[in-house]
Formats: sequence, structure tokens, C-alpha cells
Amino acid sequence: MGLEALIAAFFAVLNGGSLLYLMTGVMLGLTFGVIPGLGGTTALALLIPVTYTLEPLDAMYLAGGVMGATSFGGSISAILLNTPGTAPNAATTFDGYPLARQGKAGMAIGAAATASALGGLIGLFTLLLFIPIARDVVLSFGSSEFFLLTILGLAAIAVSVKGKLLRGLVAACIGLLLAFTGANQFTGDTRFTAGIDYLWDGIPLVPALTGLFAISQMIELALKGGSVAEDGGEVAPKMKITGVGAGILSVFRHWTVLIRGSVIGTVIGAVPGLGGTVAAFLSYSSTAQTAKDRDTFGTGNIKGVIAPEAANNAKDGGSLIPTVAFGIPGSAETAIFLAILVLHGMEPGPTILLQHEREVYGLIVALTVSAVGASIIGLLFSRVLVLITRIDVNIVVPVVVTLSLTGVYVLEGRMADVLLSVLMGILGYLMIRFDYPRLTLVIALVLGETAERSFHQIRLISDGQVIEYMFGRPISIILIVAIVITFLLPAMRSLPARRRRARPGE
Amino acid sequence: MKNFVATGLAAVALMTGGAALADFPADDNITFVIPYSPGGGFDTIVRQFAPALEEAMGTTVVPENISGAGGSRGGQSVHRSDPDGYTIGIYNIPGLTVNEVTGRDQGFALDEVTWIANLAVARYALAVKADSPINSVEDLCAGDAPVKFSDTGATSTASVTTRISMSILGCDIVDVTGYAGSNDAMIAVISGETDATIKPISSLARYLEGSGSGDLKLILTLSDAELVDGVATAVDIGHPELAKFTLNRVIGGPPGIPADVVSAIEEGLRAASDSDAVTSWAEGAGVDLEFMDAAETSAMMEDLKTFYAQYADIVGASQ
Amino acid sequence: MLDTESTKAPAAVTSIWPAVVLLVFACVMLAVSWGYPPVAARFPVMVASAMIALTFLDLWSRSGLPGADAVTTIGGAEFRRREMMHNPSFANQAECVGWIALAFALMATVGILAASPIFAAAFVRLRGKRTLAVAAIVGLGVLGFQFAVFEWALDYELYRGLLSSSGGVSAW
Repeated sequence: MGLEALIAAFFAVLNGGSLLYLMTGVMLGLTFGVIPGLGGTTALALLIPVTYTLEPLDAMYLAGGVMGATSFGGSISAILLNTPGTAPNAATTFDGYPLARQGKAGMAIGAAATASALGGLIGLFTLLLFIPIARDVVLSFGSSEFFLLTILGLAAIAVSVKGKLLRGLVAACIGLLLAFTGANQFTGDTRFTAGIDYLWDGIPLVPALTGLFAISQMIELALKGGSVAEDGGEVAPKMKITGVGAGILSVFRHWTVLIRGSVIGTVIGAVPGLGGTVAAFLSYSSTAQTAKDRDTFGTGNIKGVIAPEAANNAKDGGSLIPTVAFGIPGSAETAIFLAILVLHGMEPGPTILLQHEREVYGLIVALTVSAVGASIIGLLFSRVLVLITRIDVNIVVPVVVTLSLTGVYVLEGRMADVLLSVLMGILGYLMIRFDYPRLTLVIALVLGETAERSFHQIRLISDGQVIEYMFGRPISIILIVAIVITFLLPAMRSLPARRRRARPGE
Repeated sequence: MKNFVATGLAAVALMTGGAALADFPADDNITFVIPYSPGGGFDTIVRQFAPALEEAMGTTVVPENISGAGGSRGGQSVHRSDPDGYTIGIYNIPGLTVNEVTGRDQGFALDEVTWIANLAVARYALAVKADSPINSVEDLCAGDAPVKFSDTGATSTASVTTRISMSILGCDIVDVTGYAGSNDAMIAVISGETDATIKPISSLARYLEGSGSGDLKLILTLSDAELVDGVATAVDIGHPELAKFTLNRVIGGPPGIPADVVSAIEEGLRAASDSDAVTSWAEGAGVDLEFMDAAETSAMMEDLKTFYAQYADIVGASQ
Repeated sequence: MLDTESTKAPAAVTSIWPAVVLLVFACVMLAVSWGYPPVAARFPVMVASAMIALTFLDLWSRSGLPGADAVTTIGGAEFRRREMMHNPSFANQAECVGWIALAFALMATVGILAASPIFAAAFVRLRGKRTLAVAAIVGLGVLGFQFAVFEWALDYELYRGLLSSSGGVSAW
């Protein structure tokens, strides 16, 4: 049944008009993805009023085109400008930007494009496999699993910040405190709001992340001067788009990284509230932790580009698992997809697949085409895009600052969001300056609320027997094992690592 | 400080808004403020009403989402605008009433809002897992351990309804709050994390036999009349006051809209509510349209205020 | 160029002050958290306490007191592989932060559509010391993009600024 619907949806897309909507979505997604501060959520939110006048299926093609394309678009700015185009691309900057500085931008973009496309395909393929059992999957992920996943994410922070463990943990604490700001869902109490109405809803993620990643980076870039490709007045090796082929091939060479990233992306994507930033980060850190050449991560290891990008795209497939099972969103983007259905008079619920099969498969096909299409288009334009790195930063900075602040505004139409973004930008700059890792703050900010809330929920659900309750649930046990391994792995290796560090010439 | 400014503005608005606008609506657009992000229940009903309202009033109606601060930011924005009828908003009732009762500062007073109409009323029902041996509230509350309910926010209308109604029934409960959405709260019952949940019937319908997946069953509707075949009502169990718990989509405007303008909008909304486009949408989406005019709506607001004030201690209590 | 570049972390970065500021921040957060009802206070108190301990270690590792080297090694508090390898002067940093603040101030007063080209052109001309022609092209480019994408294609009204919208700051 599912396969026929899928094939039908695929041929429906090939109809001229539908393809036009899909490609419009892809181009829009790529553009919004590349520009820091404008992401998939913003693009989709802006499109809601537009889709109101469209046929539901065309709206799905448009939405799918946008969703599938933003994350690859975001990786381009992450690699070329060290500024993630969308928050989930943050982990891609770690190795993508050093590669670009070494003149291997083409290789990095090639790898990102391929990993994005294949990661997206694997995620969607997994989704199709999971559709028959999606219900059971969702039902087996309860408060206990949510809580343990957040702990796994926080544990990965602790072990992944190389040489800055202490300051990474301090940054994580700041992130958690920021996450606790606002009205607490669980108790209804408001915390740290200082009487400001705006903070009642908590620290909104998109403005905060845009400030921390994009605005702060622009301050740093403006101070550096020259162009991105220049290194302190000295022109670095020319950033030619060479090695695109090598980049594409590298994904196949490191297929295990691709698979692992895609699996992590699919699983994290399926959990509402965690999202792409956490998926990409976990994929990056687990790859960096287990690789034999882990010391070269952060200095331009191609696997450091493949891992987060695969996860980042696979999460779209995963985030549709709760959607097909119960009609509930797995991510901010799927929430908007459901909102579009509601606006068209449909009532998404647990019977969504029976009642709205056409729309759901339409979206899946659009996502598939978009994931591949965006990568191909991105590669075609990469020669032009890479020229960004040669432009005087004094031109890049004001353009990115104005566009990203505008993007922050249009998401909800609130100037207060823009102010928050500027303040977070200054905080982010101070963190760069004083060498406190920003990503750990962000991961903690994303996870903090879910961690607290689900812990209190388990406490009530289990009548206070939290540990016993967790050990009674198979998936919880797997997650507990994963957390223990995350902590033990670095400890088990610390001896040889320290010996290496003692060697001169680091 | 902020409050002072808001009150000041409201006072100015009251003074200047007295001039009657005989030819309402003129060519100006009517801005229809939705205090939540696009795609939710409040957004959808406004967007469904807007075209029919345009037709009835002969002027353009522009829905505008002003989200934030649990709906109070949009409410404040309406409150600040000129009372000329060109800015109206949709209000979450009794959510805002409950906030006021618990003393949360929303930046505007519900008493001052010019109430125009009530568009829809959703009624609540108590649901348990479909294959559960529990078939009545009595069964549910018979055990020794407190009954676990699931809800979104601790200040959400559903959670407030749950806590007040179960205390009226003398049933010992634990309300597990913090679920991301009302669907997640219902899924928690299906997965067995919690025992029961009280949600609007239209939301529960997706999970019921016949109208949905058949994962849940109803054991009580908080209503006077029988809404679902064979399910007990508030009256049946001897607590008719439970029928007071509803979820209303109410339309209002800034303080001091002239009476003739109010009745013009009221008539426009009534015509929209009766239009084919809106009625057929409501049927498909399971929305219970229930039109009330300005006078009825104001009376209901007063009524709800006194009703929830009795339970201020339950509503305000945190876990 | 006054700014110097070196692989060794500058004194401002390795000084005790960042840790002191964070320690004070953590103490304030702990004090505030303490006042919340028990359940709401539990996590903030836990995190703020942890942060006090961590910032204290951070402070110790920077202090040069006995044991500081050990804390640095065990806690991984070395300043290797820093993100920002150049060391701009304080005035330069203040100027750049000021530019960002200016961008916001302009957007807040005259609106996003007017502020974007003005800011972009001013930055290119004054900070970038490029010709007026370049500044004008960048400004017009930004204006064109904002107008075409938001106002025209998506029919979205960008913020018009405090000067020409009602409600003032409370409408933000």
C-alpha cells in the first residue's frame, strides 16, 4: 500500500506545475539556508500565508523543497564563512572552515553536498521502513527516554570539547540557566524573567542561536579584517574550487561515518524538541571520539564534515516518524507542515496516513527530490559561492548582519527578538574572545528544558522510583549504556593520548 | 512602569474614541489580531472566518499574528489600538480569565476589553485508554493511589480544568504536566505513562473509535447534554457545575469601541458564522460553532470570572 | 597594524577576570534560584551550584596559585586551539560591538527597510574605507534583497521603526 502511494506521489511530482513548486522551494531553501539567521523554520513560517491559496499538494511540494534544501545551504556558509547558515550546521564549521582555509573548500562542499543528499535519502528510507511500526516506536519513547537522550547530549558535551573541558562545562551551565528562563511548563512558575514579559516564553532559540553563531562571528570577522581567505594580511593559498570530486568520493570512502551520522540523525530527529543542532553535534562528537585519527578533528578532517551533514539531513526523515504515527510534529519544520494541513481544513491526527496519504507521501517525495536536487544545484553554484571568501569582510559583515537580523525579525515579527539576537551576538563574541566554546552553551540551551521537564515527569509517573522505572524500559537501558560508554571512552584512552601530547611540536 | 504606560494609553484611547463612526466600515482594512503563531486553533478559526467576514462587511480583513507571552502580547497590542473597530482580536477564554484570577500581570485588564462576540465553544471530556477496565469516574477514582493525568503547561486551561473538576469530584489526582502538546498528553495515556486526561472533545475525537484511531475511550463529558452516545455527562454524575468548563474563542477589541461599531462587527461575524464556507469547514474540522452576541459574551465573561475566582487556591497551586 | 597576532593567548584572555565575572554571575543566579518554590528551584540551584564550583576551578587554573597547573591539566583548561588567534585592541573591539549596536538602534528607530541600506553603506564607507560608489552598491543591494524577498515576494511588512509605528517599545 505504502509503496504504491509512494510511486504515485513520485510520478505526480514530475508533472510540470508540481515540479515548479518543488524547485521554487529548493531555491528558496538554499537561499535561506545560506544566509545566517534565515533558516528552514523562518522560510516555512513566511510561506504559510502563501500556501493558503495553493492546492494542499502543491503546498507540500513547496514545503518539502524548502525543508530538504536549507541544511545543505547552511553548510556552505559554515564552510566558507565559519558561520553556520542554520544552527544545525554549527558542527560543520569545526572541520569545514579549516578545510576552506587550507584551500580545500571545494572538497568540503563536495563532501557536504554528498553527505547531505545521501543522509537525507537514508533518513527517508528509514522512515519508509519504519512507517508500519511508527506507532510502536513513538509509544516506546516516553519521558524516561527523552530525559536520557538529553543526558546523552550533555554527556557528549563533556567529553567532546578538546582542551577546553572546564570552560566548555561553564558554558554549558550558562546554557542550562538560559534554558530555565521563563514560565516553567511543569510547575507554571516563572524564573529569571526580571519582570520582562518577553522572557515569559523563555529564550527563543532562533534569535539566540543567530546571535551566538552569526552576529558574534561577524564581530570577530570585522576585527580580523582582510577577507576570509586572507590570513592576517597574508593571502592564503588560493581558495579554488578544486577537489569537489575528491570530496564526493570521500563520503563513499568513509561510508561508516555516513551511516552512523544518518542513524543518529534519524533517531534524534524522531524525538520532538531535540532537533538538528543536537543531532549534528552528537554525530560529530561520536565520530570524533571513536576515530583513529581523532587528533586531527578540528583541523580539517573531512569526516568532521560528513558526520554532521549526514545527521542534519537524515533528521528530516526521522522527524516525520511521530508525524506519520500520530500526526504530531518531530521538529519545528514538521510542526509547520502540520499547520499547513490544518490551514487547508485537514485535521492531522493518528489517522493521518489513512486520511491524508497523498499529502504525506507528497511531502516525503518532495523531501527526497529536494535533498538530492539542492546538493546538485549547490555544487553547480559552488564555484561562484566560494568567491564570497575573497570579498572584503567589510562588505560581507554589514550584509550578513542586516540580513540575519531581518531574518530574526520576520520569524515572529518581534523587535525584541532582534534585540536578544544582538545581545547574544555580543555574548557570543566575548565567548570567542575569551575562548569559551559556544556550541556547548547552545546544546545545553536546547536540551535544558526537556531535561528538567522530563525528569520531573518521570518522578511523578514512577511514584518517585526514578531509577527502577528506567531500568524497566528496554530503550532506556540502551540509552543508559550509551551514556556510560560516552563517559568511559575518553577515560580508557586518556593514557596514550597524554603520552602523545607530551611529544614536542604540538 | 509598563502597566502605567498601558493604562495611560487606554485612558487616552477612551477619551478620543468617543466620536461615533457612523459610516463604519469605511475603506480601511480591519486588522484581526491572533495572539498565537500561525497554524494553531485560534489562527485557523480567524483565517477561516476572515473571507466570510470580508464579504459580510464589504472591507478587507487582515489576520495578523502577534504571538508571545502566552497570548498576552497580542492582547496588549489590541488594547493599545484605537477603538474605532478597525482592530479586533481573538481571545483565549478562560485561559486569560484564569491568568487574571491567579494574579499574573498580562498588561491589560479583561474588564476593559470591548467584547464583541463568541465564535466557538469546545467542551471537555475525560478519556482513558480504550482497553482499560475503567468505565466510569467512579472506577477511575476507586484505587488507593492517586490517579495520574497528563497535561501540557501547569497554567493551561486543560490542566486547570483537570485540577478543579477532580477536586470537585473529590478524586485524588497527580497532574503530570509538561507535555509538549495536547497530542503528546493524550499519547501519554495511550502509552500507559498516565491513566487519564481531560481534553476538548474535538481533540480527543482523533483517538476515539469511529472518528479516529480507537486508542482512547471517553468516560465522562463535562456538559449538560449527552454529547457522545452512552457517555455520562456532568449532570448524570450529579455535578452539573462541571459543565462550566469550556474553551471559548472570543472576539473583542480595545476599550471604548462605540456601540454602533460593535454591533456592525457583531453582525458581520454572525453572518460569517452562518456562511456555508465556515459551517462546512467547522463540520470537517470538528469545531463547535456557537455564536454569542456582544451582550451574551460580556455576561459570560463576568460569569467565568466569578466561577474561577472560587477556585483561585487550586488554580494557583504549583506542584 | 596595532593588532598583533600570536599563537600564545593574550594576557586579557588568560587573566582571572573572565572567571571572576562568571563566578559572580553564578552566585547571583544561585541566590535568585534559591527564592523559587522547591520544585522550580531544584534544577537552577543544582546548575548554579555546579557553575560556582566550575568557575572557581577556572579561576584557580588562571591564578598561578599552588595547584593551578594541575587544575589546568586535569580540567583541560589550556588555551590551545583557540578560535580567535588575532588580538585586537580594546578600542577596536569596542568599535565593532558599537557597530552592531548601531545596526540595532537604526532598525529600531527608522525601521528595518531603511536601516539596512544605511547601515550597510555606512559600514562599508566608514569602517571599510571603501569608495562611496562601493558603499552605495552594497546599500542598494541589501535594500533590493530585503524589498524583493520580504516586502514584495512574501508580502511581509518589515518593522517600520519607532518613529513611524504606534505602541512604542512595548509593541516589540
